[in-house]
Amino acid sequence: MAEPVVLAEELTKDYATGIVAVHALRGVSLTVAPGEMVAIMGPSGSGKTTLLNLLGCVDLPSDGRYWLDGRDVSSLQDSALSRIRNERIGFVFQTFNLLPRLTALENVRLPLLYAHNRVPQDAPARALERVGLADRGHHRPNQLSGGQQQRVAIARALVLDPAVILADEPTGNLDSRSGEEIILLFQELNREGATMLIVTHDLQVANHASRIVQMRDGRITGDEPVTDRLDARDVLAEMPAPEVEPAKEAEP
Amino acid sequence: MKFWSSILTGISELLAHKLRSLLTMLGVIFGIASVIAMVSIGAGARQEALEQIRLMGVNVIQINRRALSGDLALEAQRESPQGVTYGDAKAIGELYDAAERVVPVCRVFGEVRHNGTAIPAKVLGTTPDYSRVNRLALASGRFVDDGDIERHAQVCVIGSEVKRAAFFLEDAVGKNLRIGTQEFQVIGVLEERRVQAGSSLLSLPDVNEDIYMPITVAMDDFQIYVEQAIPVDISGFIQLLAKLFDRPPLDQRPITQIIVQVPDESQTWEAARVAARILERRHKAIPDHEIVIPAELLRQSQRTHRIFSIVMGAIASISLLVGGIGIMNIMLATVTQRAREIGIRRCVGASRSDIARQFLLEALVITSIGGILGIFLGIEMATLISQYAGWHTIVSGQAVLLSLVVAVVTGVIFGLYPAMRAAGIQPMEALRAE
Ligand SMILES: Nc1ncnc2c1ncn2[C@@H]1O[C@H](COP(=O)(O)OP(=O)(O)O)[C@@H](O)[C@H]1O
Ligand SMILES: [Mg+2]
Repeated sequence: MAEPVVLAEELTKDYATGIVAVHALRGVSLTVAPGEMVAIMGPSGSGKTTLLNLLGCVDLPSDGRYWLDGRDVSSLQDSALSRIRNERIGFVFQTFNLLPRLTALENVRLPLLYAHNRVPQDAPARALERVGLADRGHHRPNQLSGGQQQRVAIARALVLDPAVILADEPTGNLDSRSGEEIILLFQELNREGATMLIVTHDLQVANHASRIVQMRDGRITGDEPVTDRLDARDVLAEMPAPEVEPAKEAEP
Repeated sequence: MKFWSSILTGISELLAHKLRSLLTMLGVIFGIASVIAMVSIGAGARQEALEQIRLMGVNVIQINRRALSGDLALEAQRESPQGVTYGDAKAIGELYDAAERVVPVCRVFGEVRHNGTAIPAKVLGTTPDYSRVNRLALASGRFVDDGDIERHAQVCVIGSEVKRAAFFLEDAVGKNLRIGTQEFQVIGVLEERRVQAGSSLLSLPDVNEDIYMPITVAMDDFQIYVEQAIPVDISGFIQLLAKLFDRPPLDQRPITQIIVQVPDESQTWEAARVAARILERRHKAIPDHEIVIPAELLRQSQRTHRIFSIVMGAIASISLLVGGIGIMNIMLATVTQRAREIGIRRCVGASRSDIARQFLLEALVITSIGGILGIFLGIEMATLISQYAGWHTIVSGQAVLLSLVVAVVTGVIFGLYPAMRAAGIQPMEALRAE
């Protein structure tokens, strides 16, 4: 097996909330190899988002070690962690989290503002093209449908060619067809070699992944490969055709 | 994050809330305007002092003829009908040993003409020392000398403006000018002198429009017994009258001004006291003269300027403080409002210092734009002050630079805390909060 992209050992995370400390993670160990597409499932409050935050270097574990792409990041300073987020991590959120005043293209360009190395100037345009929104670059988020906004967010996650894409309930705010299209995009990216972790509570979504990790009360309770993996192309083909294109599409 | 994209973000934030931005800037605008006004007044005052020192020095006093009215005028008729006289000047020179130079000046009211065209000029009769006290420099020829005075020579020295008006580019020396009813030969032309400080408080002569002649000639032929300028048509008549009357002896001829120069500024008060005592005795206590101490005027003027500067400085400090607090307040509010934006930026790779820098730069954009608007307002204020207070103000590049520095420093001081608050926002909590 190739060197793992994600290697977490006994990660714990405690939140001090007033008198009682919340043990959001109670010792999570996880290994993800390059090219894997891992779904993380579990009931609400089981620590999925917390784990994703630690893996995405936006938060530090209370205890445990974490290697990203072979590099120990558990003890790095803010500036080094920021650089790792910038270069090695791509985030996708349930609520898209685009900056409303920026156009789609400007949103995709955002990571470039914080890049340390030179990035080709056309990278944002190419990322937008990759998610099928080449013609929507000058639209603002409120002129795009939910599915399109999520595509812009994915383009933003892809733009600096990260080691791993972390998606937290990426289909949670989308109708089933738009959600399936996003999953299709993820599967395509995965086939092209992207490593991804997708948090979801939807088994249907999880069954598109190559492996499902189950969480409960801050612990991993199950970790199995998906034997009968769904192909989003087939699922989409079986879906009823979309009645109309989403109403929010304005002309430029 | 790159500097320019932070600036652009800051500007687009400002444009997204135009009214709010303008209100936020007001304090800085007024503060910076006050800084400009303060510095400009200070620079004007400094220049005024330098001008006084350059043009005349501060080691002089002036005794000016003063017109009286009512009962005092009647009493003056009786006791001291001539007012300030040539004899007074001589007496001061003899009795006051410390005086370095005593210069009598007699204003001549007569029309100046050349080839029939009237030339605007102020004509003074005086002695050679006048050019030394006033530090006059000659462009050509010479000044009135003792021989001219002795001989009552009909010669004159003209200022550069008079020369230009009468002779334009021609050489003036040796040519004639008509003053009143008489012909005068030009013996010298003064160098042009630029007077920059136009303060009405100081008594700096504008020599460019002056004409000087020997004091003896002025007293002989243009003797005046009244203060006001006499209209052209009757001046000849008055002169005729003066000639018809027996001329009083030289010492009793009225003059307009006596300038007393002492070795050092510190002696001006003493000079004024001595001169006052001498004149009091000679004029039988009639207050037909006033004594001006330019050094004292200058000091008063400087003091007024300084007080004004302090007031402006106080306004500037208060405005900047209030404006700065306003900016801090708004910035703190935006930090909370924009927590999600901060979270997003942090997730895509912004470090805490990137975020801090962005918010600090936004504060700096506010104060800099406010500062630039303030500079324009300040220049306007300085102009108004010049117009209404008659003060000389100088808006220098340094003042503008200083204002910009003050604006930037204000931005840093009041933007730093909000910037640190922005940097301290936990990205995931910001994104969790819906
Ligand atoms: N910032 C925080 N402060 C306090 N408690 C938190 C914080 N973030 C998460 N938690 C708690 O940690 C636990 C796990 O949360 P989370 O990782 O968001 O779960 P999931 O994403 O699986 O729903 C929950 O009990 C949640 O209330
Ligand atoms: Mg969650």
